[in-house]
Amino acid sequence: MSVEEARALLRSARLARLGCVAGDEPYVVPVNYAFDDECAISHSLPGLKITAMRERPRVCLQVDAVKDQFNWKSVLAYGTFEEIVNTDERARALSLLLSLFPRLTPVETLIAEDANAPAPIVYRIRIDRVTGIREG
Amino acid sequence: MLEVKDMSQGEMVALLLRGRLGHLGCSRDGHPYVVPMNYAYDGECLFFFTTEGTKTEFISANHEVCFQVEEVTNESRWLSVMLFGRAERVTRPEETERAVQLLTGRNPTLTPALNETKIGAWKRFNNVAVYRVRPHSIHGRKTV
Repeated sequence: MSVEEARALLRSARLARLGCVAGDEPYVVPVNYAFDDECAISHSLPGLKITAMRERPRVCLQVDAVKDQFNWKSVLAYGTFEEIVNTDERARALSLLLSLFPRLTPVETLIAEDANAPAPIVYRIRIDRVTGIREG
Repeated sequence: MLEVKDMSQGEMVALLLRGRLGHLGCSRDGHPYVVPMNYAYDGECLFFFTTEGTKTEFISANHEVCFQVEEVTNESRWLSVMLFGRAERVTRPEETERAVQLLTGRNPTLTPALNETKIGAWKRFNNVAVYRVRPHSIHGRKTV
């Protein structure tokens, strides 16, 4: 698959598996994301994956489009985890996420229900390498 | 309102048993690697096969893997299970045979990895590695 085709899938998809390293073990978790300016943007409550990415910011995102077993694409994007802490950038990132995912995610649900809930972490994965394979 | 909760052991096993496609996560020198992968689960161990390449290199360097299986209807309706364990290469013929039976029973056309190897039959395993993961932990979450 060409890099252009791989990037196109990465830009259009909304669901990826985030791969990070916790201790010395791999950790794979599905995440919803928005793609903006060569970065994947997402958010999370504090937890294992945030702790892991803070410790080891080199991560990957895997995205696929599977029609059937003879027609599928898989893209692997490598990048670096960065927390978005600037207030304006954070607000912009959150509004982008909410525009794509209007149904409340667990994070907003918690915030809506409990004012004392921990603040969600908003982050970007700055993508620096994309590879893709396909069949069909 | 969306609510997420931990899955029970029974729910996690059921999801692993009915699934066919998951995502294998490996890591080496602090770098992760994730690929889609067909698998079979016998209620105790998870099996997958791959051709020699990046995955086998990662696994040789670090046998600890994470295998993630999901059923996503949409962003507010999903189940996801993560299985952690050590990937051991299956080498004994009878074990290999059993693993292949499990895998082919579920994936009769041998895709996606095998068709690229141009091998004619399952009996020839020359450049195909079969792995078994005996989980040391399994976690799962689902929307309510």
